[in-house]
Amino acid sequence: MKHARNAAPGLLGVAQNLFASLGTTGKVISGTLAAVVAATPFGAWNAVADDAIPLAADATVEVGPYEVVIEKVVSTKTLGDVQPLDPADKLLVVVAEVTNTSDVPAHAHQLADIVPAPVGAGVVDTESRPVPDDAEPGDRPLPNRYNIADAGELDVINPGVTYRVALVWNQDGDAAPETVRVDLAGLHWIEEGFAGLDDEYWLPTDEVTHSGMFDVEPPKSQAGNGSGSGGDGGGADAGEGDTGGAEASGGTDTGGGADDGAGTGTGAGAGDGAGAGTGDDAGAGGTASGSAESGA
Amino acid sequence: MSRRGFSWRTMLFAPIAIGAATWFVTQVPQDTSVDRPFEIEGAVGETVRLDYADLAVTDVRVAQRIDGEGGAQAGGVFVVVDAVWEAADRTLSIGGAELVDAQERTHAATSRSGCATATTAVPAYGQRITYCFDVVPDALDGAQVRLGRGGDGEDGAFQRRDAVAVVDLGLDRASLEEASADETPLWIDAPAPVVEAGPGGEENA
Repeated sequence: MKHARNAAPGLLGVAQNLFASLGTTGKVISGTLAAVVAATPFGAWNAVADDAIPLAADATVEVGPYEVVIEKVVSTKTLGDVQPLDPADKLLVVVAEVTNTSDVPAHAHQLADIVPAPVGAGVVDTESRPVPDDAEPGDRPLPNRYNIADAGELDVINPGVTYRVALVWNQDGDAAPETVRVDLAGLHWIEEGFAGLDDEYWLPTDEVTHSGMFDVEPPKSQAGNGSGSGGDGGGADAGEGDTGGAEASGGTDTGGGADDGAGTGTGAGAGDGAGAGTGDDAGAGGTASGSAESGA
Repeated sequence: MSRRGFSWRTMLFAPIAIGAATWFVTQVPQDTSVDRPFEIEGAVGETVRLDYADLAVTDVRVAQRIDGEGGAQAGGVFVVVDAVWEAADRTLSIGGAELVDAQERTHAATSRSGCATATTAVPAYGQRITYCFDVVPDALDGAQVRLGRGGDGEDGAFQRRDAVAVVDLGLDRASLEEASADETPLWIDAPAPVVEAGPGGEENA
C-alpha cells in the first residue's frame, strides 16, 4: 500500500531506530543495561551459597527473630509414631534449639522457611520424588516440626522461650549419606508493606545465610518398639541420648494427641495403628502407650 | 469569558498551601489517637462490658504441663486463662488473644493441648473457653491479657478503633513457685456453653 512506509514503526521499530542512532559508547552502555534488566527476574541479584556464613554444630546463629542452634542430623526409620509416607523410605531429622529473641510472638511455621531441606541427604518430597541438590531453598520440601519435649507440633514461639525441635523430612530409603549440608535461609523484616496493607512481618528471603556440613547419625535398630508405657519406641532413633527424657514424657502424655490420628506431611501418627481420625499435632507422640490408647 | 491563566499569586501560594497541608497531615498522631483500640480494663472475676460482648476472666492458673487433646510441656511456663464470652446482640467471632507483660512484650495464645486461640460468642448464654500462653517466667509479673474480637495480627490492624478488654492477671513469682511444686498436668477443658446467662455463670450446659 502506498502509505505503508509512513505507518507507525511500533515499539520495536522505535527501539531499533533509537539504538541505531546511538554512538558506539551509547550502544555498549544501553546493551549492558538491557542485559542487566533481562537477568534480574532470573535471580541475578540473589545471594549465592558461597557467601553464606559457616555453620557448625552447637553454634548459635541469629536468623530473623530466632536464635538457632543446630544440634545434629539424624537418619531414622521412625520417629515415634511419625513414619515416612513410603515404608521403604526413612526420615531425616534435624535437631535444633530455637529461641525467639524478639519482643513479639513468632510463628513456628517460619522454622520451615529458615531451615530448608538439607542438601546431599537424599530428601524426597511428599510424592517420593527426589529433590535435586541444586534446588533453591524456597523450592525444597518443607519439614514437619515437633517440640521434642512433648512430641507435639509447635504453633507459636513467644518472646524469650526456647524449644528443642525436630524438623523432619522424608528421605530416600537407599540414601545413606555420611554428611549433609545444612543451610539456613534468611528472613527480612517488613515494617510497612505496599500501601500499608500488610505491615510488620518476617518475609522469607529464600537466600542462604548460613551453611555447614554435618555428620549424619545413621538409623539404629528398633528394639523396644511398642511395649508398655515407657515411650522408648520409635522416637529412640532420632532422639537418643539426652532426648530420652523428653520422649518418655511424650509417652505418657501424648496419648490423647495420638487419638487425633494420622496427621499430615511426613505421615505423622501412622503408628496409631487403628488409623483413627486425622490431625496435625497427633502422631509425634511416638510412644507405645499413646498408640495403645488410640488403638483402643 | 475570561481565558486568563494562573495568576502569579496562584503560582506562589498554591505550592505553599499544598506543603502546609502535607505538613499538617504528617503531624496527626495516627498511631495513637486514631488507630489505638478502646481499652476497657478489668480484673479476674469481673465482667468487662465491651460494646459487642461481655467478657469475664474467671480463673488464672500457672502450670509446667497441661493436658487436654494431648499433653504439652511448656518451653517456659503455661499461663492458663479461663474466660466466658457472651455476645451482645449477634453471633460473632472472637479472634484476639494476647498476653502483655510488664516489659511490654506480647505473647500469643497457643492451640497446643486443645487450648483455644479463638471462639464464637453468641447472645443469651456464655461460651467458656481456655486460653493458654507459653511464656518465660519473668513475663508473669504484671501480666495482662488483651482479649477482643479483632485478631491480633502482627501490626494490630484488626483491632483499630475497636473495643478490647485488658485484664490484669494478678500473677507474680509466687505463682511460678506453685506451678513448679505441682508436676500434675493441668487439665484443659474443651470449650462449652454456660447455662447461666452472662459471664460468671458457674454451671455448664
